[in-house]
Amino acid sequence: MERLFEALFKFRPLLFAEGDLTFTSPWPMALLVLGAAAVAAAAVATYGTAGGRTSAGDRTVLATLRLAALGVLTFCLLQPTLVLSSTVAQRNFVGILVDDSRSMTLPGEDGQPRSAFATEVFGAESELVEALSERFALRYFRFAGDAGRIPGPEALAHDGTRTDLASALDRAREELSSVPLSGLVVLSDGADNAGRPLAEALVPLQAASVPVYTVGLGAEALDPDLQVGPVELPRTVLQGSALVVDVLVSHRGFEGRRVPVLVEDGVRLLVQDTVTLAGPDEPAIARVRFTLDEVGPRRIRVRVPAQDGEAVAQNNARDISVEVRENTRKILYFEGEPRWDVKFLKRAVEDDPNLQVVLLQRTADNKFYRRDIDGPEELVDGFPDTREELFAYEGLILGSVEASFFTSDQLSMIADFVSQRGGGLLTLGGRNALAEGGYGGTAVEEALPVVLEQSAAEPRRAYTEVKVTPTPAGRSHPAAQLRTDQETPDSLWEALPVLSTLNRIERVKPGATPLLVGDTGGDTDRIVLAHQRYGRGKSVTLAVQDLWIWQMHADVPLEDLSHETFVQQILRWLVEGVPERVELRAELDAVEPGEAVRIGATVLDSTYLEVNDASVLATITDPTGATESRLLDWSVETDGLYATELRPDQPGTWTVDVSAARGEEMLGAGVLHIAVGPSDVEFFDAGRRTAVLERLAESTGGRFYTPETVGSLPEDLQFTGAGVTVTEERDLWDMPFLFLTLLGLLGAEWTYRRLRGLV
Amino acid sequence: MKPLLALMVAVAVTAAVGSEVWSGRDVSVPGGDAPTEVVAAGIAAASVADRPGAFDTPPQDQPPYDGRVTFVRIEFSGGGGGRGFRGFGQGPPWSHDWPRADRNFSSILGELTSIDTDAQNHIVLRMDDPEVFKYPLIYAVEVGYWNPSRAEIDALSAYLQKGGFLIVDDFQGQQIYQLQAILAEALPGAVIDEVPDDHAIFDSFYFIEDPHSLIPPYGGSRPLYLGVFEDNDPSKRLMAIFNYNNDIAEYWEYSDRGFYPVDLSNEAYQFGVNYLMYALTR
Repeated sequence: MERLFEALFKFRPLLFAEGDLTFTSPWPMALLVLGAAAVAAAAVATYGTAGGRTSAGDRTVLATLRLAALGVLTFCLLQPTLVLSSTVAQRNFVGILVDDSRSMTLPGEDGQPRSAFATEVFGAESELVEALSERFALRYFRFAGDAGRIPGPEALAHDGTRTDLASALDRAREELSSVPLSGLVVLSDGADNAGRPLAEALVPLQAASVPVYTVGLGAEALDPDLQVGPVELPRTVLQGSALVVDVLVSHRGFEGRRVPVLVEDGVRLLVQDTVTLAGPDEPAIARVRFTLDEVGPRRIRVRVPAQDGEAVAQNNARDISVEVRENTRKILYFEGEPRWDVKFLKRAVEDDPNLQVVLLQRTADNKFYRRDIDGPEELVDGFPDTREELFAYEGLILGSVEASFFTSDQLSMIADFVSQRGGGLLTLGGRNALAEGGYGGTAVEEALPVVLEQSAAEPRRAYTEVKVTPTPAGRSHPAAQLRTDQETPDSLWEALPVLSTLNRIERVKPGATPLLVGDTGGDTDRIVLAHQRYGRGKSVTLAVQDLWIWQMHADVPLEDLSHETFVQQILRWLVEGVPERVELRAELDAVEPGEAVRIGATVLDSTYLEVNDASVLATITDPTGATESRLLDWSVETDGLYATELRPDQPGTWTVDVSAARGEEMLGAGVLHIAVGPSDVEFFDAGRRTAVLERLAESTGGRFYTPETVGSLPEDLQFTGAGVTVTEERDLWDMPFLFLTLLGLLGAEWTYRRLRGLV
Repeated sequence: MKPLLALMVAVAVTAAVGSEVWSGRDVSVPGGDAPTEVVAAGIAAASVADRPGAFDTPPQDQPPYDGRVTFVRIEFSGGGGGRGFRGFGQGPPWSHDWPRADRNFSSILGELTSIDTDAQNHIVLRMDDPEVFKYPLIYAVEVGYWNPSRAEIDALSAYLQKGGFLIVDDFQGQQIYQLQAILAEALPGAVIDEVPDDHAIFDSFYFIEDPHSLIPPYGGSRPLYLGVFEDNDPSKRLMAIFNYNNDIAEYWEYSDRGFYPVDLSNEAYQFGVNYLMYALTR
């Protein structure tokens, strides 16, 4: 198409896009237009007054054709010219960035490695480089996880463990900022897996008017191939927690095949499932559940065995780091009245070593009963009235206690417990809970995942039985399970007895997720269980008053553990991931030896406010047991964040122990494990990302090429308008298109006359 | 004391000595405005009129289940044929002190504690009625006259193991053998043990320093507080408590009549409230 355009209009479309149209006739424009108008008027008059056999219609057609021909002629006489900014030869620079990551070793559409194109077409002896060199000074860069100058593409090893395109663009732009830069050329498959938004690098390029020309390498889809999608697991889990993972398997060329999905912890197989592959655009999902019992840093592998003939086998497995902890999570359960849920909730978790549910129960006015406290002073004055006291817990359960029991500060503190401290809030149903407890309009209401309807004047009259069923989201959600070894079958939900509620909850807030609903036998279902993120933490509402019926009911067999499992699951999930006062995070949970990883420690005080004047000491232990200590620096950009960079040089598990203190006060400690070893991240989504490369080019004024179209790159770069340029004029009056148009109009007139017998 | 019972209690007491029955982490907060004199409220509660002829007909107008804490008395056959026991003119054995005791106690609970209940919120159920599982606390009297069916035994077994709590009151002497026989079938291997004076049940709401200070309303033998612990382990949950040689509901029944001294009626209510509070939290 572009060749046809060039044949008709002399130049390629890009030149028309870059240039400006002007007229350079030596005669005055007005004179030419007047002359053309006079000729046109004469022509119209001649045709209009012609008699003989011509009809009015004939005259109109002929006059129009003649006028059009005159118009084309006039346009040519005006001498149309394309004005272009052309780069001055040898005065400008072009940066050529070549992808040096492992994905470049994958075969391209021609069967050769993608890297071969870069070496051949952009090598020192190639025609393209010669053409570029005639006009530009070329500077080569390699990029993968990092970027740097190289003499040419022959120096590349293509062993980069990840690709950071944004940083590469930054590096090249900064390095060439002191010279006239006509553009950057990026040779890549477009696979960017560093996690840094590309937009961050685009803005400075746009500001500096540096166009980026991208050359996409490799096929858009590998065929045949099978890939395991990203797997999401919590970073830390309590020992014995049941995990549910959706494993997404996408493929090309394996329609209808049944493949196994395995989850492994080291050499131990945790669970195996099978999944049937559908069409190429329909990823299959295997929902697997397993329990992590071994404490410490675990490297969980989710994989599908390699299939015959696969283009890439390395993208069949995902490794995820999970920290399995055995520490006890402390939950405060505040119940406003003695009722049976207290007993059965406590009983359900009494054998769970990872959960300590501290009970504070109002048994009469100003009389409280405490259970499972750590010392005589704990909760001695009733519900906490300081942030320090409340924030010492990781979870908070609010039972049937009216909002007016709390002071305004305490209500705000409960909301802050979720949003700032990152704790888990579970609100139970009851006569003094939710709307019936007067929570509408309070700070706590804002944290709730449900919409509080009008409260019932007499809660007991609002007694409604609900048959509980899971929503599609709840079916796989860890907080809504009755079994830990498998997804709760529908038959189990159906077998459970009905519960009851006094709280009319029919809607969740935008952004909240309903997990369980209750069929009332009427038109509208009730929300039984819903959750939402609220700030740093999560808020869950369980709007029934007698969950314990699932334990006691006559129809529930004695050996049935549905109630215990449900309570354990929801409470474990409630406090899972609740931040500690020193939280450690690495930007990558796995790196290759020699690869740099940035480690950040967020340090909070007892009220969970960020501390910027702490002394934060990190002790780094390598796989051999050798240790190194270093102080972490406050990052300045972010309150409470202390950071350092680690470059592990040996494979194995590296441990980073961090302790934070302010003066004599110990603020907290944390530990982080980093898996160091070979990574296959480059082989995921390894097809050419045309959209990414096109967007990069278009948003900077550049152009996207394939290996087939890259031949026009030297000429395109010449007219970028960036760098040192001169104005260049190109005549357009002699475009074949104009000549053909004129010929066509005159020919049409003649043909018309012949057909009508007017010749 | 019968030799067999004496031996049993001696063994139980010996077993309990030295065991960790009082968790150091469990504390009842005694402060605040906790009521200590309960009879005054009990008298007020007794303004509700008695139901004439209540023993002769099964209760008909019982409140349906609505999620509240409800006092449930177990009705059973036995004691002179069908419902025909008429000892002391009080109807069948299961109904001794009913309904006044149940009503007064429920009223006291609603008045003195935060429990959502009132004088009308008490019902009577048979052990083999599936509805009984909706009420995790049951109360039975005169169990020496109870000859439970297989269905009742099975229900009692499941009920206690699932987490239900049983209070047995108003029985003495050889009635213990029948209770023992019932439990032997319902909970094979379970040992009837003496509940230590410092057990949490005596400090779950009121602090009852000396449980033995409450003398039985009809005099006689020294009262004993017996019970069954989960797994026969006194450090675990108390599944049932038996007021052997005692009858606290007798005090409840007549707390508004001045029939017994006020302080004894007070104590009887304190036992009842403590039992319920314990059952609600353990």
